[in-house]
Amino acid sequence: MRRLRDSLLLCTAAMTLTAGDVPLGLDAYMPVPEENPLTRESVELGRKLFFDPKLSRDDSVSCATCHDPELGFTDEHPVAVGVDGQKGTRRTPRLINRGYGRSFFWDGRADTLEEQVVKPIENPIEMDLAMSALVARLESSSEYEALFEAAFARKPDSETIAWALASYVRSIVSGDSPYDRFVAGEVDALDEQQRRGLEIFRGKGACTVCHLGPNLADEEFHNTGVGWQDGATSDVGRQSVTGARRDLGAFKTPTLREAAVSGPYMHDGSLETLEDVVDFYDEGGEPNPGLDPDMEPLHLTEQEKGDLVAFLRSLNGQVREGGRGVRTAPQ
Amino acid sequence: MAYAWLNAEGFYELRVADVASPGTFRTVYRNSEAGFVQPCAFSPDGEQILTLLFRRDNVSQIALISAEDGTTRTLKSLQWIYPKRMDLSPDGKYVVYDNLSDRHADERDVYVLAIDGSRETRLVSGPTNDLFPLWSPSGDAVLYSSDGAGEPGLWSVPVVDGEAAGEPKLVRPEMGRFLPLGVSDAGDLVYALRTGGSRLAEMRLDGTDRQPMFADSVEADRFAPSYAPDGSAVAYLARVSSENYGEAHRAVVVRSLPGGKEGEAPDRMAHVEKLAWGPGGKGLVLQGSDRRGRAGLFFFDLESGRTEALAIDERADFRGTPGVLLKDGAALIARGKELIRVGPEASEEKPVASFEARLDLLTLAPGGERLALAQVGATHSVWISTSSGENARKILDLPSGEVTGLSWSGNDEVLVGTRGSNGARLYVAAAAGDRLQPVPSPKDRLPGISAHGGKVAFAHGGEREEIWILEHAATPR
Repeated sequence: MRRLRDSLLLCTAAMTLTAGDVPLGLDAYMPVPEENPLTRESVELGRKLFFDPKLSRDDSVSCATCHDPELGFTDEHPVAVGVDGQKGTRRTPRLINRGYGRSFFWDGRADTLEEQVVKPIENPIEMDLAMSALVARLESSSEYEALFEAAFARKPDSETIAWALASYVRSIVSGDSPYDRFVAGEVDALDEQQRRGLEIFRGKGACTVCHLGPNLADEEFHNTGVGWQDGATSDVGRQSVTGARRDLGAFKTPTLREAAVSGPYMHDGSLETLEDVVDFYDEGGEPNPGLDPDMEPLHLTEQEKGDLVAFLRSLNGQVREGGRGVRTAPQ
Repeated sequence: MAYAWLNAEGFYELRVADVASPGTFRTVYRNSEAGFVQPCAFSPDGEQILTLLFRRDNVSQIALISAEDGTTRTLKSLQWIYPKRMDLSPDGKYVVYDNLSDRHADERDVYVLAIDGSRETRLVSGPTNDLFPLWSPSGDAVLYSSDGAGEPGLWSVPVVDGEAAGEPKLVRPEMGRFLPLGVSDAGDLVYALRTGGSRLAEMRLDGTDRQPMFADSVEADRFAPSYAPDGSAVAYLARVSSENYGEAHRAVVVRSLPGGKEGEAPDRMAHVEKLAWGPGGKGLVLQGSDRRGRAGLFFFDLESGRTEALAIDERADFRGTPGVLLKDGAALIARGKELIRVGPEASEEKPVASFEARLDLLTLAPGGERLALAQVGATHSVWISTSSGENARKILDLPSGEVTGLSWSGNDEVLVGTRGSNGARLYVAAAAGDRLQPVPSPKDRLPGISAHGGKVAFAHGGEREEIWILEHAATPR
């Protein structure tokens, strides 16, 4: 039977990201769940939570510890480091433009930002704090109580905490980069080397097979061979979610925005520099049973590799969080 | 009036003309990075133009462009799948558009997007193909095409504040291949109606014994036939899926001869412009673009069912790059006036020959040693060269008209299809350039020719388009 509408896709008013706030290169429309409208109050509350180490068991780690605004909302470590210095198995993902995302985490196991943002809090090797304990901490704070009341007309609970953090993450956007200005028609926004790099990016390098659109990511999962050695991998990636053989070793395409400030790279942080990443793809990735069929040697010259890296640096733009500008680390 | 104009640099720009002053226009948007523009509606105040942009990175975008200075605001990006129709509500607050559903690759749903970017609603969904939405002049409903009652018909769904306010209703069933164009203030729907299509036929090379290629052939678009090297099968393109204002979606079909059943190749391509058999008949060389937005030349392996890129051409549009697959696994492609050898690794490129005009219609002789190609400049001509592009010589010059098809009819003869003011023509041209023999053939359009074993397969016929009005289709303004 015909259905009139899909209530899951219904979205609601954006108060923080108004049309005038959307950086050049990004869509005016950002999907927002009906039950969690993006409001100035929810973003501000989410921002306070994001930077607050109270969200970890021993008050040592906040979201921002790993998602450093000055480093493209990731950090310098190959894999995430949580309470007691415990190391995870995957690189901390950049939180740039995740409001436009369709699935979350490297393996896409969360369907919504609301689902994603609370997982690290309870993860024993990340923040290791039970949600009930966090709620109790926040309830004991008159400041938080007032902020939750203003944002949601409710006391802190697991749902409103998720709403606030998700709202803040939606406010983290990057655009208005030299690349965006070039695409908008400002031909001098890229220098000659960057323009050559863009040609490689779209042509010989075939980067746009996965890195396309406003966020330079297809939001799909690909096996590029990262992490494979001698035909085996320690991380099955997307397969852990779907169980499908075709998803073995596949990981979500990350955005390339702010890539130049946010190494090391790949889901395991195994490649230190952009040059290393370009070399990896130039060699066609790491052969393995599920290697994406589009992965093949590129045979780039040294100049072409340099041009491509120069272009990737043009994807650094104006980063904003919670309606504020962010100073990112030098390129 | 806003319109798209193909400029001298080969991309579209958005122009606005004053209908009260014929001949005057302004270019309001000109950007080679978004080289395809399709204006769809003016805002009620005339200040904004709802426009579909298609960018060089194969991303389509719903955008509002200032009619005054071209300032652009992107509402939503849709990757390479673009809406087949979009429209602005009479109050200027909402865009209605169609887009692929998340259920099935060939089905679309209708969406409403607030122009302030704050909200999107799926207006119509379900296991049906719903597309071509238009607002009613009163703004209280959206009209659209749907196969919800079987054949495509006109449906209407009431809308309040950008959301469906009731069940969709069938306004008129069995509309045929219709494309809604607009709704008048009086509520009359203006639409285009397509009928007919091209059919496959074959005949002897002397023009005798002409007959339909398949006795069971239905009245449907079939074109660009290509005989397998051993003559055991024919491959061709077939129009599939719903109507489109631009190029129809095409399936690659392989049918064994004589008279086997149609078998569609797995659909990995977004668009196939032309096809030809590869060396040894192991697969098909496809000119077009894939579903990852890459344009160029591809190879469909009949045994594995896989499609791989032979040559990706960042400068090509969705129609891809003319080319052939050589026996050593490399491809020879035409990029403008240049012949380029690519491969066997896809990234190995080497220019091998340069011509005076743009190249098109490359085809290899049965032995794979020689190449026939067309130069399509101010006048068209046919050339023969070695398979490496050397020793090119002209065998046919067309002072007027154009070359529309090339196929080797033997080791020393090339079948040439042309089109001019007197209609379509076929010729057999000697590769030595010393003989040209007309072949009696239908005079209507010949979209694709292929020769083998003294026979020629061709597609003939074509579509008709008529403009119709359906009165009182919607509530008047």
